[in-house]
Amino acid sequence: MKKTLYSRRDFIKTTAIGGLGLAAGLGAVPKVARGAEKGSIAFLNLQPFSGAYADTGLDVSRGVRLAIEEFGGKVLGREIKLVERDATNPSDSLRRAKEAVEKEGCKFIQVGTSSAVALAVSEYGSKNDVIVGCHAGADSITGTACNKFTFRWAVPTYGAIREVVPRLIKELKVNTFYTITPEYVFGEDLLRNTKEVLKEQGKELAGNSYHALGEAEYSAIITKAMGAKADCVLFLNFGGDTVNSVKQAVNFGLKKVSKLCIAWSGGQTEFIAMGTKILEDVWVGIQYHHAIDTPMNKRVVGDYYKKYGVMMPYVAASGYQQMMVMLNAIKRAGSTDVKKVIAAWEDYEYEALTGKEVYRKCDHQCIKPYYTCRGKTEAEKKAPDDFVGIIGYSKNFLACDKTGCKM
Amino acid sequence: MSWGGLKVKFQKNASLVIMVGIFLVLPFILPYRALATEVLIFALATIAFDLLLGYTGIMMFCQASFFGSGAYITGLLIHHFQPNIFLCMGTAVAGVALLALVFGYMGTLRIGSYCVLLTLAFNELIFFIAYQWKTLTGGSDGLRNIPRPSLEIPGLFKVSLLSETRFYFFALFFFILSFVLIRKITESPFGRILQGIRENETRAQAIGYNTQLFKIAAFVIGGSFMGLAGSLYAMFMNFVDINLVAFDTSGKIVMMELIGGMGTLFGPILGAVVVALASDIANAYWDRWLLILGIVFVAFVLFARGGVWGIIENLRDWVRVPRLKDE
Amino acid sequence: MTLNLVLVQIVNGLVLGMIYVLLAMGLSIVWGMMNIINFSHGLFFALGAYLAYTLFSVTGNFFMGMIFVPLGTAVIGMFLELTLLKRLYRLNILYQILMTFGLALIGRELIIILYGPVGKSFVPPDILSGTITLGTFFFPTYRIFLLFVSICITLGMWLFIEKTKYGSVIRAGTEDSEMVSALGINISRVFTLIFGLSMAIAGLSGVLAAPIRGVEPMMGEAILGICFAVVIIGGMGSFMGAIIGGVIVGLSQSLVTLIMPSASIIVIFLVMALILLLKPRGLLGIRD
Repeated sequence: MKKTLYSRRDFIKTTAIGGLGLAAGLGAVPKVARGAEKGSIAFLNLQPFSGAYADTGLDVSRGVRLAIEEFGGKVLGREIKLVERDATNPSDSLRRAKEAVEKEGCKFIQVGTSSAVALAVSEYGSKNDVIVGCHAGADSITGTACNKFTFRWAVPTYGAIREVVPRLIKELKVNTFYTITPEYVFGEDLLRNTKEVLKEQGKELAGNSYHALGEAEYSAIITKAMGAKADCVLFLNFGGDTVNSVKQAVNFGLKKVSKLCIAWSGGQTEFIAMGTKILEDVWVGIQYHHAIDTPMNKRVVGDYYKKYGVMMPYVAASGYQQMMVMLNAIKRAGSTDVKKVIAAWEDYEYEALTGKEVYRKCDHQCIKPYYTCRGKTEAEKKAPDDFVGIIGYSKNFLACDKTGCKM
Repeated sequence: MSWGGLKVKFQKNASLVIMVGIFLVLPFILPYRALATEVLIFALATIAFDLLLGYTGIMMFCQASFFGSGAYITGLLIHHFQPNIFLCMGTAVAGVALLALVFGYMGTLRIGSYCVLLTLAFNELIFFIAYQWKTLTGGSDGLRNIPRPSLEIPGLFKVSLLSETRFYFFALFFFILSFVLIRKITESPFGRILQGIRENETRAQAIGYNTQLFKIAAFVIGGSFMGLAGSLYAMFMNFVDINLVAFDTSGKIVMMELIGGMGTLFGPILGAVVVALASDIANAYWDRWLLILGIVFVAFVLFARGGVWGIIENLRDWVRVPRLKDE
Repeated sequence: MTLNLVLVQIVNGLVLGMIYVLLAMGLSIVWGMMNIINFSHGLFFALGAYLAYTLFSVTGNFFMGMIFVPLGTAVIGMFLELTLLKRLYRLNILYQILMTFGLALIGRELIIILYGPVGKSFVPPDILSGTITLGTFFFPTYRIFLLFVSICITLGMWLFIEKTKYGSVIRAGTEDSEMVSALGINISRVFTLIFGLSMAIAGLSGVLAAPIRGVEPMMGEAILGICFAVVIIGGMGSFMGAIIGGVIVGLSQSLVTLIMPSASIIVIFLVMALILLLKPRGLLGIRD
């Protein structure tokens, strides 16, 4: 049908649309709630529930829910309302944060593992008086991009490298390293720290290979690494990249030449994707392990196992721990006033899965250990998901004035 | 003015008035305000794309380049200099217009599916630059620290736009302005030629039009409005996400256009409403809702190529008692 | 950077290139004959990999996958062509592009629903695992196998297209499908078979690539852009073009990785853009 001028049919059309739109808006969609439901306190959990990291999101969610359950589903006598939203990119995450603040009067957010998302939401929180608990590893979250409203549990790259590399040197008598680094801010941070530690310890970096994030094809890098004949090949990537690069490295026979070590492991998801054969005798640095020997960890791991039938993975522990701390801070503050909760949260030492932990005041970074583990052989495994065993751990953090954080 | 002429003028503007009316109440009927702004900005981007695909017949995949670049330019200006809001927006539009000129020129050198692939490659290039140039764009972490500027005419007044509602109405003003402008263009002789190119480019050339020039012009105009949308988005989110220049954003706009209804200007608005609203709601219930969107999209390609607008049109025809069939 | 390293990278580039050659052949045939820019080509690559994974998990046999998976993807492809694509032929090719684009999205989501969002582990079968020594470097046996197999398939395809009656229909149809129809051949059925053949090769490349690249839901989208680049660089509709294009892209990717890893993909797109601007037929293309 030719459309020259807007005729009467167009008029009717637009009215119909208007009517439809209005009806859809009023009918299909819940009324805009001004502020929180009577009595309940809203918590927004922004995790990747779709996309490549969907498993991570699910695990964090499980940890968060376990914490809420343990708390009795209530804090300050008010019901805990958990709102969970998919957060695979910063734009959607910010929109969801706005939604939660507007609809639920939400003042407490837990945000997941992507640096970009965490940084964006953290900034949003600081501008809108919302407390944000981050689960991402980017240094800047409690460094140059820190703010009063953001707290972060995971150990940043400084602490991760300063546990793993010295331990490799000590336990395996490693003298030369070859690094495989994703070309990405995070990878650069890991590499920078590695170089610093090697310099301090008087050890040599035999070489470094960069790769694009999301790279599927590592033959060039592996060939170079094999040629370098370093004592240890240190993988500074994570997630799917780690799985691909380590698998291909093992297939090329790199294990015959060097010891393999993954500095920043995503935990169970990666282990399952790699499998026991590949992971055998590979050293792994990780934020948390289900075999950590503290009474609280044993109990929570048991509870998690009862509820979900698997050993608690690191991201679930992160979700659990940070949610527990958040709820306890609200309880101690005796109110949901954000400033009071922040004051109650910072510099308070508490019993945690990893032992005693504290979020220090200067940068809101949690002071906790980082763990080095070793991939078990099939015979050593006590259960199908028992892929690695703890070798050692330590706490390493930059002094407050060196983090670049100004709050 | 004759009675008939007045009637026509009323009807012609009535659709516009109704659309404006709906948008005026949109933030209050949708679940939350920010969703209305999201819908609005993407509706603008899709209308701009409609000028290219629906009216000129140019299929492309570099929508994200224009939208995202608009966002980056505005974001960078605010991040570093905090100039007047109109300067931020104007510079973004000008910058994107230039980019559209370049892409348009190269994309229209030859007729055919060549443009689709070239714009795809260009979009990848822009993404790559945004990703690699971390010191400028923040790379995959995105550009933060973009405080929302106030609505200000120096010397006259200054109004804060921090409230979501206020920003929405600010964006709405530009949306309506853009819509009216684009509609005027489609109704002008220039617009007719664009449609002629869509119908049969070879014939248009045979008549004597330099179709490449017209197509480049369409690129520049459409691109500029996409850049404007991107500029608004940067101020809306106070953040520039690298995904704004990624292929996915181009794909999103293509889906909104097809589902809404090509070549109708109102169709793209519907498309943006449907896709944005459906994704927002569905996303909260099922992580795999993209599957539904894909199926709906394919269904539309098969059975409802006129989009939602086309369906409404058909419904109206079906309901109405057929009198004189005027084509 | 030693000569040895460069040589090994050249071999790697050839292996990678042969996967691209296989994919480009399929894409080019469909594009040349049916004028469809198949945005779901990558999906069938992923589908091939996933089906191989399933078959391997169930039977433990990889080689069976090499035979049955391409049949599977061919059947799925032909089914989709008959039910969905055929209706759109009389329309603007825009709708075919959009349709395949939508199918790619649906396919990817289905894969995620069925197999989960995380990639799966896929190791080469035991006979083919292990390494061969190349100079002072170890080189996986499987990659040599892949090189060998893909060269054989390419040769087979060449023989099919150049030396058989059916091949001549393809060659003719790529130049002028209307004329072929006018000459009395049921072009509709030919289209279906061609599409099936194309998806069979795509599926087979997925099977072959899976032990190297792994199996993950986004693998189709990741490789699609490169496939387009290969066909454009080599020249759409040209068999030799697919080979040349694939090898060039594969070599370029692995050699650029030695210098600047993140640039390895964008270089391909830059070359593609250059070719589109300067020589839109591609290096060996027979028509635009």
